[in-house]
Amino acid sequence: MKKWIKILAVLTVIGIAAATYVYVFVYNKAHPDYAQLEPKISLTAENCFTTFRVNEAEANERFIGKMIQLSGHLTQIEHSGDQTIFYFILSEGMFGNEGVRVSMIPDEKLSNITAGHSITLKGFCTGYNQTDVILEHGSVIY
Amino acid sequence: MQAQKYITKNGQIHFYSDAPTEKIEAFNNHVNSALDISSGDFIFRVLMKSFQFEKALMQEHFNENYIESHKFPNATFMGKVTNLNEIDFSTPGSYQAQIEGELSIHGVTQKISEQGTFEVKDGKIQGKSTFYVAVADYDIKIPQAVITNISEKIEVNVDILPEALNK
Repeated sequence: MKKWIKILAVLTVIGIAAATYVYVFVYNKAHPDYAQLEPKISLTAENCFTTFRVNEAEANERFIGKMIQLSGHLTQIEHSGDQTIFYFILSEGMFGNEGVRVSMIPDEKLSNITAGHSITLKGFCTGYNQTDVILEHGSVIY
Repeated sequence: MQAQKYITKNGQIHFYSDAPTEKIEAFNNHVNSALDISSGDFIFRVLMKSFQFEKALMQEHFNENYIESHKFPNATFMGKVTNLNEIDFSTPGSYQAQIEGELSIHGVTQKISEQGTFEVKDGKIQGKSTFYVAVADYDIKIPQAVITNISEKIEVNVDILPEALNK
């Protein structure tokens, strides 16, 4: 009888541990710390934009869902709500300017950066919306 | 003279699934939208991978299993405001809008007809609409194991504040 109680107790503990593990590390797992992610690819903003325009399918495969490092001439900084968007303007179309838009992770240091200079940053590529290449969770490298 | 084309790249879409065992919502603040107030042409385009969920696992499942955003990275709506004669974009006020067009999600295009409002204020036009999307209409397959976690009809809220395109 005691043996069965021991087995049951061990199984219960294992069950609780497994359920806790699944709840904490699978169901409630944290979003990636994008600021700490290493870029998989490094290229110029212009090269990135052109790749999407010339062959979107290939660019989707290469860039979407990856942290990429971009360098280029930062043309514009926009503020929309609590978002800061760095914009590399590279062309013009029906939505006005076109290029690479990078939604930056909020950071006090962003207020020191002005448009009109070269910059290198990284961001998580979510795709091309036929106007702009969109990078999210951006942060400045230098 | 009032501008004819209004655009935004920072429109917002929020969706909400209210299922028996779970509530799921996601936000996207990078919606491209254009409205031509002379023709009524209205389009928006959304990158699926830009939707942000509270839980990373849900975001992963949404992109990889349901929407397959690697295959279908964009959702688009192309249509028209059909009751343009009832809306005066030059006079402040709130106007009911009837919008018809084609919504493409997950590689499937469906004709839709929805209501919305345009609020004209301080020279700006704010567009809002709430409508429902049936996941089955867009060939989005929900596994039997999580059928009670995801609503068959997803509430979609669109909120755009386009600015005059001076070209």
